[in-house]
Amino acid sequence: MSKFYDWFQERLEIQLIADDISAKYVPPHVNVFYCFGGMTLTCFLVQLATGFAMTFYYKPTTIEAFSSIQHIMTQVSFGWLIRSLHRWSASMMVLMMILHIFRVYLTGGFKKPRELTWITGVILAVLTVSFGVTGYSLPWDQVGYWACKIVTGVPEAIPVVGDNVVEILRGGTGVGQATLTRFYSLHTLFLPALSVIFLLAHFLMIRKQGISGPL
Amino acid sequence: MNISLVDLTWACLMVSFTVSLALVVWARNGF
Repeated sequence: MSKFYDWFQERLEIQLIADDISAKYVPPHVNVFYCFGGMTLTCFLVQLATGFAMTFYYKPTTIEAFSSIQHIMTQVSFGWLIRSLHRWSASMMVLMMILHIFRVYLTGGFKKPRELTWITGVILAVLTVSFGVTGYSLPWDQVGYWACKIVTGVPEAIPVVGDNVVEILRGGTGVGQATLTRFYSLHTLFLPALSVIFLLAHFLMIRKQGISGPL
Repeated sequence: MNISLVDLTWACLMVSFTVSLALVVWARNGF
């Protein structure tokens, strides 16, 4: 083997990692429906890459948000492609996630000893929808603005603390710059960080326990 | 025409996207 490989092998025993990855066999009961989870992850990785790229030109202010997106779509090299991929992959991610949930439910993949994998999956589902809600309003166009107004107003129905929850979500009594800043911060930092943590837990538990058994 | 650091970094990103996509297609014997 190469000197490069030997250097790492001597210090970190990387061969063990390679052996672990290549030693798993796919059981015969596994079919195409078991691909949906991986497809959801693929969509997430596309979202991560294209989303990061768009942070170069998107401006999270109520005045400049919409025009910065017009700039991305018409002036920036391949900006139209990057944003279109982000938008389509977002819808595909939700679709693949729903199909993945159906597969796990219908094959009983959530049963003992995989309860924690299911629970982290439920949390990831909530995170995915939160990505959708916050991302939908970032262009600050008519549909995004009003969606933001309606969605942040929903907790008003909660007795006693409802109004306070709404104020925390909006960063004030009305929807404005503070709300857009919060949504942008959630969409590009808080939600991705949480997602990576729960994805790691989700995958490590799957590796540890192996794929769920046949029906 | 002025080339800013943002434009340059953006160009690098686009190149890395294209190369990684090409690598995936190549690894899957797409061309």
